Amino acid sequence: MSKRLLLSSLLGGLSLTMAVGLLGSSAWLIAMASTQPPILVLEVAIVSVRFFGLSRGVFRYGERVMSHDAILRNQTQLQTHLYRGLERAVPLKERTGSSFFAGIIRDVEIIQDRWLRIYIPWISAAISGLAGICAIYFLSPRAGTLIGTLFIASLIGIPMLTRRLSLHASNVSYVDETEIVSQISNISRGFLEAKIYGYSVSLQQKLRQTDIALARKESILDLGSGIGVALNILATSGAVIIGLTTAIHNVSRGELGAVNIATLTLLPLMIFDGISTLPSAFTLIGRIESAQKNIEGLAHQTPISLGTKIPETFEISLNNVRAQWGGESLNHQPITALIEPGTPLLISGESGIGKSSLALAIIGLIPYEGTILIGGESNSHLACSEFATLSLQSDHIFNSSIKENIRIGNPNITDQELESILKIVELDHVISHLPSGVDSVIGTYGTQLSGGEKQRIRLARALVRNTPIYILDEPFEFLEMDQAQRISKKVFERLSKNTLIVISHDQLTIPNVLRINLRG
Amino acid sequence: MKFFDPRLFRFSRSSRGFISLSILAALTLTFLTILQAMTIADLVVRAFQKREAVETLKTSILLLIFIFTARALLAIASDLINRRISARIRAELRSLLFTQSINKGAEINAQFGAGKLSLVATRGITQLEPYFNRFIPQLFIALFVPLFVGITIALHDFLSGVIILFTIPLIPLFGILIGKYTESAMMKKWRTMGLLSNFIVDLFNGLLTLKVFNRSQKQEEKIHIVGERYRVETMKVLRISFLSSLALELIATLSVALLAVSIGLRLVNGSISLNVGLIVLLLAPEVYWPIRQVSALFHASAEGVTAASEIFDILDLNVNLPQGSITPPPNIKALAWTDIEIEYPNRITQRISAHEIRSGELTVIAGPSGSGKTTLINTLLSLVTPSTGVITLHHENGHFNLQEINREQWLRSIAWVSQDPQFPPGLISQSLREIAGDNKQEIVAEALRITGLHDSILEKSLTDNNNGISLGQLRRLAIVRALISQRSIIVMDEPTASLDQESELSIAKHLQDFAHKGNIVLVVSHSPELISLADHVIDLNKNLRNNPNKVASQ
Repeated sequence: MSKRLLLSSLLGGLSLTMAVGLLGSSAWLIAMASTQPPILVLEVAIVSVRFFGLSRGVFRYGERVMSHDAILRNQTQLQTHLYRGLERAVPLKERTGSSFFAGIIRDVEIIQDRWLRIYIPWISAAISGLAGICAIYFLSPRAGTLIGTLFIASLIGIPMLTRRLSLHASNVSYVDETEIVSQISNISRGFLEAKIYGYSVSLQQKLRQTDIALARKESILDLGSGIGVALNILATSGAVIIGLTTAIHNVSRGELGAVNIATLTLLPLMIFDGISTLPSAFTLIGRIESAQKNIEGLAHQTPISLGTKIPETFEISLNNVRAQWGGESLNHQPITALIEPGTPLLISGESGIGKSSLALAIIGLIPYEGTILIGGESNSHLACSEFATLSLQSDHIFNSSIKENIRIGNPNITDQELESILKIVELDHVISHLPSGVDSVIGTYGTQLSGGEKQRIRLARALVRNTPIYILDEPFEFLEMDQAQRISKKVFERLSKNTLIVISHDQLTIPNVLRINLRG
Repeated sequence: MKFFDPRLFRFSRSSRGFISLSILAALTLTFLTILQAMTIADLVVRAFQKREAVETLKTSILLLIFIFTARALLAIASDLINRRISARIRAELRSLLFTQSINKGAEINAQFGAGKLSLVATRGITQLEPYFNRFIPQLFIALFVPLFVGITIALHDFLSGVIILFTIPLIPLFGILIGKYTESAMMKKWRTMGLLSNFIVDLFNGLLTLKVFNRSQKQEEKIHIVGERYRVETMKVLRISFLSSLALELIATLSVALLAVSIGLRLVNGSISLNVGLIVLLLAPEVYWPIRQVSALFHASAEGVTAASEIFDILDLNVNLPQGSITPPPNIKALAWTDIEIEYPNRITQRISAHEIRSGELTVIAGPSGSGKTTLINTLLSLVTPSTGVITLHHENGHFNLQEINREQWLRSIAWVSQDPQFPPGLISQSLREIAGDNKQEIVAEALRITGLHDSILEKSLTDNNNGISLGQLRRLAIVRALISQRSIIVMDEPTASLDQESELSIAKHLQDFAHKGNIVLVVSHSPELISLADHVIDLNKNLRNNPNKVASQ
């Protein structure tokens, strides 16, 4: 819990307290003025009215700045924490589409509502309410006790009731929202097929239905918060009437100056004001809890431990290896091979059999059965990503420039090196036609590249690393045959002295190659 | 900053009834607020000045209870009404976006980027909700409450009415001045914020890549740095907006203080009654508060209007693809095109030389990436209209220009396999049955056999992200879908990429058979198996080659 958040709750409480003071002191001022006293009597009240009026706004400003700042800090912290957790845990078996990560970011934002919309307003309401009640108690202990009891009951009871009324709907509405997000991302990628194969109408109906279901649940949420607000209004009216009648009673018995009747009647209006925003905030709890659960599940992924050593030599020896996901070995024949620098290995086999998983296992990112030795050392003791480069088919093209995308492979690359690599993968021609050349932004929000162009960027990113070991997964996918031949020749020439594993469903021409066909 | 996008109301017809209800609720609330102030003032005056006992005040106390109860009920109702409005508009806009993406998805992606549509239809619409839930109702309240409350005050105390008349315009005036002064700074910062938050999503998406390239730990620091920059930028925006709302609040407070001082002094003089004084005291904040509240909701409105304009940019994207009304003829003998040119924004114009594809032949299109294969397919599917050049459909009794053909019907006569196949969520057997028709199990079984899929796949269910099924299986399924649709034109984009050679050969053979039965089969592929079986290879970079075996024999 951060000090900033507590401080902003305090500032919020002060701001509301100032509002209570403003109404109370101006009621007293006007009632007193009507008895036509000497103007000096009013002076103190006039000053306090001004003080309350001005400081209310200032405290409120302080609260808002402070709380939003703290929330944003928390958000960054949580994002970093999640990134760290996921960074250790990737590759995850499933759920790694882009909508999955967008969902995480959304969850992080939802969780911030816990403080911003629930705790801070509740603490503020409590502080200002109690301050107002103290003032009432000072004037009339009886009214103070009665209104105080009513206030505390409302402060605790109303949010609890709203939470209870809406918890289920709030949870489910979170699910509906997630559902809508994935339905829409499906549509935006598959619009053409939906049209061609005639299922667009049924998709549209489904989206409408989910929207309607969501609206229905939101109505329940609103009913919950509406009932809360209504109860608070009724509690306020009760308090106003208690204030009025107790004041009359006290005045008639000579316990209280009549001029205070106005103050005692009007103060409750403001005391209960802080509660009025709580019901709608408490309907969010289900959503917040769902988001929290999601995030906690992610942060506690069991990470695979990586080594720190660097071997002296870089031959790879595989002995009865099968990659594992979730403790289960993949369903292919175990693979045994020795790959030395200069004698590349080509692994082929049908899609889905586990070629890419094998690649991840070799560089130590996922568990496996059997033994994998690099330079005679088990790969679990080695910092594989420092001396081995794995280029995957699914490698992400970042939403930045072509240059930045390639520099991920090697941040220290010089312009000449970059240029020569671009020539190897034959991107130089493509780039010369882009508006800002190698600095053109690509990716989701930038220029759209074709499948082959993206693949060649992935290849370039791998080549600039200059590591002793290379594992290339479908490196020439989506390239036209002539081009694939040309590029592959240059690539294999460049990597002729490295330890090289190539995964491909195509029978590529590689000098000195060993071949293994992965079978089920 | 704009408060409205007039286009929003074009799309909100279905909620007009609710909007009138919302206005009615705002009016009733005004009435109750005034009545409440008058009743409380009356009660206080009678208790304080006339020393009346609780018994004689009973009627007024009951009236007060009635007013509070009515306000309580109104609170429930107006919440529900406002939500109904936003839910309807939300569903309507999403539905419109859906239709637009079905019809013009290709253009939308070309113009705004591939991620834009789903971003707008989810986040954008979520940002619109507070705009309709809170901002618009508050706007109505800001319109009615100050007007009627101001009139009520003026009727009780003319001088206070005059003060209000002169001070009230200060709030919108300063609001506009502050808004003008900060607008460009705000817009710039909004944009930076958007970029920064996209950056973080992008980083998460590329996590595995970064890890494999040993860059992921360095990026952790970057997430922190970018998060901090995001915070600083956001706080700049928020500080401006909180400060302007503080300024407006202070103006409101000063105005109320001005009223209170004048009332206090006149009460001391005895020139007005306590009753009037209390009514003005209770009602004065109600005059300023709602207007101030509107600007406090500036946030909701700014986000809402920005989101709205993005939504309408997509909805209003009016690419007039010329299209005809002719039903595609059943026996198409050939598809031919002259030299064509297609213009794209920000990219070089694509040129494709004239070719012809005929029924009864397996045609394979080859050519390096970027040579226009996808463009050619989009053109043949009539999703893109070339700026120069014509596509002609030859059938038994003559020919049509593709532009004369009804696009919907044309698309539904083609079996299409994309590089990144999509399926409707649900059971695979179900979605295949909808395409093949009932009682066509043999056709489905045969297609599964050809593509090398096991029957058990039918029992699997596709979720929205196609999880639980590999890309290779998905591509095979897409081929199955095309085969069982029994359409006489098949168009495939890299159907056998990442499939093993055995399946590749089996699929290629089947496509050859299917073509030889008199159908049109057009495949974009680099696969040597497919090219060796092709009757006709089009190399988009070179001239038409008529002896494909030479090409394939390397």
